[in-house]
Amino acid sequence: MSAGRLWKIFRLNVKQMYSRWFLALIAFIFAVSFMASASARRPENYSSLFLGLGYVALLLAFSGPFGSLSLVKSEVDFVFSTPADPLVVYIAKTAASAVLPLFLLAAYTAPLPRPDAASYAEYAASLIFDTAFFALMAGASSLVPIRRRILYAAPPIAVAAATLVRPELSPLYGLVHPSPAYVAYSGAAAALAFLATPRGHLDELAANAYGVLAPHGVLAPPGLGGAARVAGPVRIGPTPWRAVWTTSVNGAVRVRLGGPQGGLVVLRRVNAFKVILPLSAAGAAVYYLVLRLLLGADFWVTFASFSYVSVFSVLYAGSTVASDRLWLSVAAEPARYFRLRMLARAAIAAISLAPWAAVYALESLSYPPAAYLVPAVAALALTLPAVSWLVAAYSGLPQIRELGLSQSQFRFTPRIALASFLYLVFADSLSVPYLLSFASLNAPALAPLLRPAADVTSAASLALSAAFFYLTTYSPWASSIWSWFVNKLSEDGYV
Amino acid sequence: MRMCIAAEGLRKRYGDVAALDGVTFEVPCGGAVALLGPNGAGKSTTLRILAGLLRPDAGVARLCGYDVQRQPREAKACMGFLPEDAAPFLNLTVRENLEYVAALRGLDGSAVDWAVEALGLGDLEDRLASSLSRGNRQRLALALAIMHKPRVLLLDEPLNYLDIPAQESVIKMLRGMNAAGTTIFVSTHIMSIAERLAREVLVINRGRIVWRGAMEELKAMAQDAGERIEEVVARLMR
Repeated sequence: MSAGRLWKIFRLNVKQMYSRWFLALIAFIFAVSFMASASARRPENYSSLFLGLGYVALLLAFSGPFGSLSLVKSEVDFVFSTPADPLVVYIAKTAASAVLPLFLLAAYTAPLPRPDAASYAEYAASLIFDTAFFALMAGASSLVPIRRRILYAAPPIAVAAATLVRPELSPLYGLVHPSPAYVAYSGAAAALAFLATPRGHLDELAANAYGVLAPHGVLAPPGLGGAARVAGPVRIGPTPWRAVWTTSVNGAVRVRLGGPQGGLVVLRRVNAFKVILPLSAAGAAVYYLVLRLLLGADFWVTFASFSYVSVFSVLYAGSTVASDRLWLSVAAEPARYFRLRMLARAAIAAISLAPWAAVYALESLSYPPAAYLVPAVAALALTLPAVSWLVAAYSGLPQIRELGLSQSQFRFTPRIALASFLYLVFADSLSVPYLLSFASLNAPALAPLLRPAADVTSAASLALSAAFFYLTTYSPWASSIWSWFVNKLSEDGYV
Repeated sequence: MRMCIAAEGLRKRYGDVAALDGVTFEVPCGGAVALLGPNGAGKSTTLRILAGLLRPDAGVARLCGYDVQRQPREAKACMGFLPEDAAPFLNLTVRENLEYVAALRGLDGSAVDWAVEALGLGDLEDRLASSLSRGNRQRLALALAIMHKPRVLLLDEPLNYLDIPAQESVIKMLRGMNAAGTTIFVSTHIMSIAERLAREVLVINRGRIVWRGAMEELKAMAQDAGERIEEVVARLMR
């Protein structure tokens, strides 16, 4: 394939993934990071820089399983029916998906001063290789069956962990201290990531897309065949609450599984308590063990754990609307339906997040500020159900339909940047009581002021979250909110 | 006579259901064949196997003489495929959709211009596909399937969502392509579309070809029985 054709495929993939205004926005933020990072340019601040870089790496490591690069229906219809090499198309798409990791890594490290031109060249090479490593691993893990995904997720997680604990062992170290050795290290990591591309799976998709994606036939309803082993037939009704509760708990989700013909993506009814609760409990247990056995009480680790829990909870809870079929449910009494649905979602969120509340309560026995994250988790459970769906609608999340595939590529727009920013502000605001409590430990003179402030802000954020829950369920304004939601989904082509 | 489409003993099961049970047929180059059958008869499965998007459990499918599973690049280069309810790239404009598929197929800008002209998409070129009506999306999907002037055109319900003037212009265009040598294989539920696009008919039911003949023969059967052609086809499907 000629360079011109490859460039066009890359350019049009970029266009599908990012709006022009979004690219302009990240360029602006990048420019601001140059101006605002004067304090970080001093070597004595590099340890906090590695902390930030490690958290970014962790975010990139977990982005693969969320599938931003996964297939869309248009590709099955119009890419696999052409003679184009699927590997070339995949690489072009992966390169397009690398724009965001490139920006995130560069925003942290590009403003750092370099002694000479060679150092700048080494930095640029490391940046490209590190970005390629994360993009290729994320791309592969979003495509492969669920059992193999952990293999692709492990190396980026290891790199993130190394960046946090022993930065000099991480290839990202070369972004802060460029050198030929780290260029070679990053290059080797990128080369291994390229060699690990699931070529066999790509070839199988190109030759047998419907066999891989719909092994039971496209007309087979979700829940047939192997899916019955995951969640058997569920009894819906007889009361409206029972119907809403049952369909909420047994939500349709998109999963990739291994099959005799390769990986396959299916829509399955999965009992939330059999999947999300064990995952949440396992994550909380690992967090607690790492804290107890390896790190001890650490302000940033506890703060970051809550940030990650809130970010990934909203991402998951928001993504469920793409697989939902709301139209029949809202045909009769939409306001009542959404009230029941939000009650059910809040109950599921509360039960799913309970292990984190428990672990923070346990942690507070030796590290008192963690106690303030227990009401923060409760506030999350009250706000998450409605916020996540409203943000998903506002962001233009594409619907998942035939073959369990999105109707179009998820596109980053300024709306998404705004929604993400506002959500981060909201999630961090829930941590304010924790921050105040931590500050009271470090500034005993101010403790008489800071401790009551932590209590007041904690109570206030819980009360405000309860008020928001009331607003989106029982209040007279709830029907207007959900009317906007339904209209927005309709405009975005939901059926 | 050279065959542009050949299916030999195609079998495909979805779990316990036999979607195709030994389907065999050939279509000569330049032919125009309609595949008729009730819901779930195996029409879409046949088309997906021919398009190289579904591997049969047994049997061989050939396009332009190439085995679609063993020589997929060659087979896909000579074929255009319009799936049912096709989804163009919704985040791209009409023209960018065509440019993208042109780049994948190694075509130059003239192919894009030709497709825009052929489907009457000139006024919509700069519109995002997501902003198009369902009918205009179908026209775009057709343009993506035909832009390389394929030797074999596989169409699954090609006139879905189109208004009457658009249906007329698409039928005219497809007949023109067929007259110029393109082999057309169309799957449809709608007899009137089959009558206007095809000269031969394959009737499929429960994964088997149950009748094959000329469209004229079908019309003659209807005339002899004093029935509408749909009634004759319905009887053949049973």
